[in-house]
Amino acid sequence: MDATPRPRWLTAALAVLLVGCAEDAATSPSGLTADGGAGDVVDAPAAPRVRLLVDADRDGTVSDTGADVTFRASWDATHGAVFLANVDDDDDDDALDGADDVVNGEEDARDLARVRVAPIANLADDATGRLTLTAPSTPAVRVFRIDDGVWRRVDLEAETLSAADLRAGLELGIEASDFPTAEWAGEVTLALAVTRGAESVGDDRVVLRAAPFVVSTSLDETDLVYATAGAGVFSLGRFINDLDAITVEDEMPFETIDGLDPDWRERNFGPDVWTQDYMELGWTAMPGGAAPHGMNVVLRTPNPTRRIAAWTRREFVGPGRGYVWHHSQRYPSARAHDPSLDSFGNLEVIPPYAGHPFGRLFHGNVAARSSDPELREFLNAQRVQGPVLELDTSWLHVGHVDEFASFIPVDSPRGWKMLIASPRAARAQLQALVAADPANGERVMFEGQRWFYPQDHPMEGRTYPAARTVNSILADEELMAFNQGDQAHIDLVREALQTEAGLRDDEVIEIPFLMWEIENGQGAAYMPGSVNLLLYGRSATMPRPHAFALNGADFMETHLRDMMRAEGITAHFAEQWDILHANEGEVHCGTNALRRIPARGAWWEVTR
Amino acid sequence: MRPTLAILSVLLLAATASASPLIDSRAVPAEVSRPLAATVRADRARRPEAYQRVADLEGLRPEFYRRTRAGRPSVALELRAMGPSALLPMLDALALSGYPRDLSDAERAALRLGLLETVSNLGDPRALPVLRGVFATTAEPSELRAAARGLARVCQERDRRALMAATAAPQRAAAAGALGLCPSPEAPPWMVAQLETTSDPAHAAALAAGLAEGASSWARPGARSRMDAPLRARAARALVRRWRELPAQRAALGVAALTMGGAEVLAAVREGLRDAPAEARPGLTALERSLARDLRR
Repeated sequence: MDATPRPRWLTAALAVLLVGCAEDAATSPSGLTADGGAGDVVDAPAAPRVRLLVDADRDGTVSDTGADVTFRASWDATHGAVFLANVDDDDDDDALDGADDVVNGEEDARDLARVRVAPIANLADDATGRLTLTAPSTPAVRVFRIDDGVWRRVDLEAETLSAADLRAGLELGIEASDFPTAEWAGEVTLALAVTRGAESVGDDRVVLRAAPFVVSTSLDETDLVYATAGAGVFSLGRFINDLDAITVEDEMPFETIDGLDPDWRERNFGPDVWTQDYMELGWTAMPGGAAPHGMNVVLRTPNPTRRIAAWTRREFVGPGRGYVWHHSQRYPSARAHDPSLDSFGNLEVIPPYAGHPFGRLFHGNVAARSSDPELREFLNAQRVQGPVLELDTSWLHVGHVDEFASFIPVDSPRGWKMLIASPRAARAQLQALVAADPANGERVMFEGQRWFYPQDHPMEGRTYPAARTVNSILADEELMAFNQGDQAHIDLVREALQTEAGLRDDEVIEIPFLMWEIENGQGAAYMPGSVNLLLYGRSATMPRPHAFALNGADFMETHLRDMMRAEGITAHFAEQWDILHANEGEVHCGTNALRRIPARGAWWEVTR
Repeated sequence: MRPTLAILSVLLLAATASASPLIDSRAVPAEVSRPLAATVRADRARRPEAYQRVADLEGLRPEFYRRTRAGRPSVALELRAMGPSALLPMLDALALSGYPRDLSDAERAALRLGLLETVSNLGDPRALPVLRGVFATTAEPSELRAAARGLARVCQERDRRALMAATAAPQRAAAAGALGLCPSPEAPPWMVAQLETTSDPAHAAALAAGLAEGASSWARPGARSRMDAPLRARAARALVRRWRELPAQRAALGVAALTMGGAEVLAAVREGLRDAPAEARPGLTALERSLARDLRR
C-alpha cells in the first residue's frame, strides 16, 4: 500500500487520467487510485476496490496489471477479450457443450474464456456482489464459477456472491451456445456490483466478444480428406480407390463417410456423394498463449431435406469438433429460392489478401435465383471474412462457384494464384492440336465414356456414348456459341474476383475445359471441369479428363500436369466421370477437407 | 395386392397419366393435332421402341435425378442424346399423348421444357406448328424461350415476322433473344435498330443477348459471320450506349458485350468510357479489361 500522502488534486487527476485510458471502462469507486492504493486517506484501511479482469491483451492469461486492466472494458483490433461459442462435445456425450448448464470436463473448461473477480480487500462481512450480463437471449451466454476445482453455472438471476467469495476472489468462465448472428454482433458486457444493503461499495464491468465461425481456406494446412463412399455402389468405388491411392502417396489421412448408413440413406438412390455440398468445414478460436485455442467446426448445409447432412451432427461432432446449423423456416420467395445454391460448393473463400487477412467468402446468389437468406445473414454476421461477395451463377445449371474458380498456393509475395475455368483456352487448345496435325481433328475425345450410366451397369441400355471427334466438337455451332456465352459470364466473375483481390493477370491461371447447355440456357462442364479440384498442400487432385492420347498420354492430363508443375503443384487425376462428372460435378464436389486452425488465426486483429 | 389388381391399377394409372398432352390444348388446335396424330400413329407402328424410350426417361426418375448435383429433374440432355429420330415421339408426348406415368409438378415442368428445347434444337420444320402454338399460348418464360428459339432456327418468313411483331413483354423478350439464331439476313439489322430505339429495358437486354449469340465468332468465325463489320460496329455502339443508360440491365448487357467481343466492341467501350459518368466507369473499365485481354490472346 502506498502510505505516502499525496495532494488531493494529483490523486484526482491521476484517477481521471487512468479511467480515461480505460476508455469507457468500469466506474471506479471514488477515492481509489488505479493500483488500488488508498489515495488521500491516510492511516485508514483502503476502501474496497471492485475489479473484474479478462484477457484483454490476448496473451492467453488473465492478469491484474497492464493492458488486461486498462482495456478490460473495450474492444478493438489490438485489445479486448474473446470468448468461444462452445459448440463442440468434449465429453462425447452427444450434447454440444454450450447447450447445457455444466462444464463437461477439463477439455470443456479450456473452452471457457476466463474472467477473474480480483480479491477485494477490506470488505465488510455483509457485503454481497451481483453479476449481470448484457447479452442476447439467443444464443445463450452462460457464466460458470470454479470452487475447489469444480465448475458450476452461476444463476445470474438469483445468485449473489458472498463477502467471502469476493474477498478470496473468483475465477469465472464464459461461453456462448452459438456464434454471432444478424441480431447479435457477439459482444457481451459482464458487470459486477458490490453493495452493502442499499449502499454501493463499488462496481466494474468487462467487455468480451464471441469468436466467429471462420471458413477454412483451401490453402490452410490439411489434416484429413473426406469422401462419401457406399459399399458396392457401382462406379463410386473407382473414385474412392483413386483417392485412397493418391492420399496414401501424399501421406494424407483419408476418411470415407458411409453414404449408405440407414440414418441418411435415401431410399432407392444410394449415397449422396456430394461431400463438398452438405458441409462446410471451418474453425473458431480465442487467444491461447503461444497459439490460438479453439476447435474445428462444421457448418451444416441449410437445406433441411439433405439427409446425409445428419452425419455432421452424429459423426463429426466430438472433442474439439463443433457444429453449427442455421436455416430459414420459410423462404421469403419460394419461387426464387434454389436449394442447389445452399450447397457449399457454392461457398468458397478467396485466400488472404490485403484488407482480408482471413480471406473473403464468395457465393452464388442473385435475386432471381437465390440461396437461403439465413445462411447469408449468418455468414455476414461473422464479419471477419465478409461481407460475402455475391456473384451471378444463374447461368450454371447447378449454380455453384466451385464450378469456375479455385486457388493454389505458389511461391510469390501473395502466396497464391486463382484458377479459373476457361472454355476459351480449351477451344484454343483443340484448335492448336488440329493446326499442328490435321489428323488430331479425327481423334476421339471421351472414348469409352458414357452419359447417365457407366459401361456394364445394369441400366447400361439407357446410356449414351460420350465419344466424339475433336473436329465435330469444334464444328458444333451451338456448342461453340454456348461456350462463347459462358466464357463471357466467366470473364465477368473473373473480373469481379480479380478486382476484389487485386490480382494481376499473371496471377490467374486459365484451366481449359468446354461447357455445354443442360437446359434453359444453363450450363455445366462438358469436358471434366478440372478447376473443380481437391487441394491440400502442394497436391491437387483433378478429374481424369478422358481426352485423347497423344504421344502415349492423355494430352489434357499432360497439359494440366505441366501447368501445375510450373507452379510447384503436383497434379493427380482421379476417375470420377460416371459418379460425378456425368451428374454435373467433379472432384471438389465429391470431397471435403478438414483443415487446421491457422497459426495466424488471430481473427480478433481484423478491424471489422 | 393381388397381381391382377396391381396390373389393373398400373394400367389405369398409365391411362390417366397419358390422357392429357403436356402443353395447353389451345396450342394444338385440331388442324395441328389431326395430321400430327396420323403421322405419329404410322410412325409408332413402325418403330414403337423410339416412343418407349421417350416415355421412360431416366431424368424423371427420382432415384436418378436426386443423385445429380443439381438434384432436380432434367431431361434435355437425355432427349438430345436420342437424336433426330426422337422428334415425332417427342412431339407426340408434348402435343398428344403426354407421359404414361404420374409426375410431380417439377417433373412435369422439366419434361415439358426438355421436350420443347430438344424439339426446338433439332430445327425440323415438322415441329413448327407445335412450337407456334406454344409460343402463342404459354406464359412460362423458359418455354417461351424454347419455342421462340425453335421458330428462329428454321426462321420461315411467317415465323420471323411473328417473332419481330411480338408485343406482350414475355413473348417479346423470348423472340428478341431467339432472333440471333435466325439465318435470315434481315434479322441482324432489325435487331440492331430495335436495340438502338427500344424503350423497354428487358427488351433491350434480350435483343443484346440475341445479337451476341448470332454474332458468335466461335460458332461462325470470319466470313461465316452473320453480321458484317459496319453492322457489328453499330451493334457494339448501341450495346454500350444501352449499358450506360440501363443500370438494371448491365449484367445482361455486359455478358452480351463480352460474348460479341472483338475490336468493334472494345472500340465502343473505349468510346463510351471517354465521357462516362463516375458511376459507370468501374463497370466499363472491367469490360474494357476483359475485352482487351481476350484480344491479346
